[in-house]
Amino acid sequence: MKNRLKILRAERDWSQADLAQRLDVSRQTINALETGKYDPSLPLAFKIARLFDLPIETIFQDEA
Amino acid sequence: MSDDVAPASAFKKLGLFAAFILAIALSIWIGKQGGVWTYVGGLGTVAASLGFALLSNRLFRRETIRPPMRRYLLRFGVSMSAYVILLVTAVSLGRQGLADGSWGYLIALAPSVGVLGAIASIGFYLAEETDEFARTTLIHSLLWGTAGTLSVATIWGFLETFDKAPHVPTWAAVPVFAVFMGLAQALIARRYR
Repeated sequence: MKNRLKILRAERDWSQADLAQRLDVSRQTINALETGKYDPSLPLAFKIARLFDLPIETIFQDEA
Repeated sequence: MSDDVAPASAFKKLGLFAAFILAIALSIWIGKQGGVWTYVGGLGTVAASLGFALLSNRLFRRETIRPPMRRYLLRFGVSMSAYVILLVTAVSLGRQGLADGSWGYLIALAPSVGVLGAIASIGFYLAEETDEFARTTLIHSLLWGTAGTLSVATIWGFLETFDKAPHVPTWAAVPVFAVFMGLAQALIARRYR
């Protein structure tokens, strides 16, 4: 699944570690999410959406 | 590739690895001196492994260790230290012929306590880890460890049945599991890099 995490993070000038801390996950998790190798669970996706104050579907795009 | 983490220099990586090998070799040498040094050497091996885990985390991941992982390393370290002490004690009592009779069961069972503690520490970590990705990758490596151990045990067991291999005690399953799990963790970490 594609996502705009890296762009959103860059807009706020946050490092992967900064975003990891705000979401209470490890930096590896952020990296796996940004590279699209790991899709988050619904709770984590909602948490990300709340943090960026955006609807989920504007952050994550289903390619199907 | 991650974008904002500078790779640790090859020199530092090599240094850490060399220090770890050296610490293990030193521990084994100390342990071979016998008597109370067996405990010192055994505990040294545990300390070297934990030190390697902590330092490689700092060096390669450039990140402080999150509380669930810190608790896991602490529990695992305590369990393995207890294992070393109980194992060395049980073996030396056994050599003195004190493991005979019904009280001998206590001595024979003592080393397992440490290993069971180490297994339980993985369970506690899984229950306490709030990072779903860390949980998922750990579960993957645990499954690879299980598959590898069951495969090795099956193959070895049949070789043994047909007198094609020497007998191996079943406690060997734990180190075999650890090797497969460790390999899987390395490969999984590579996949998500």
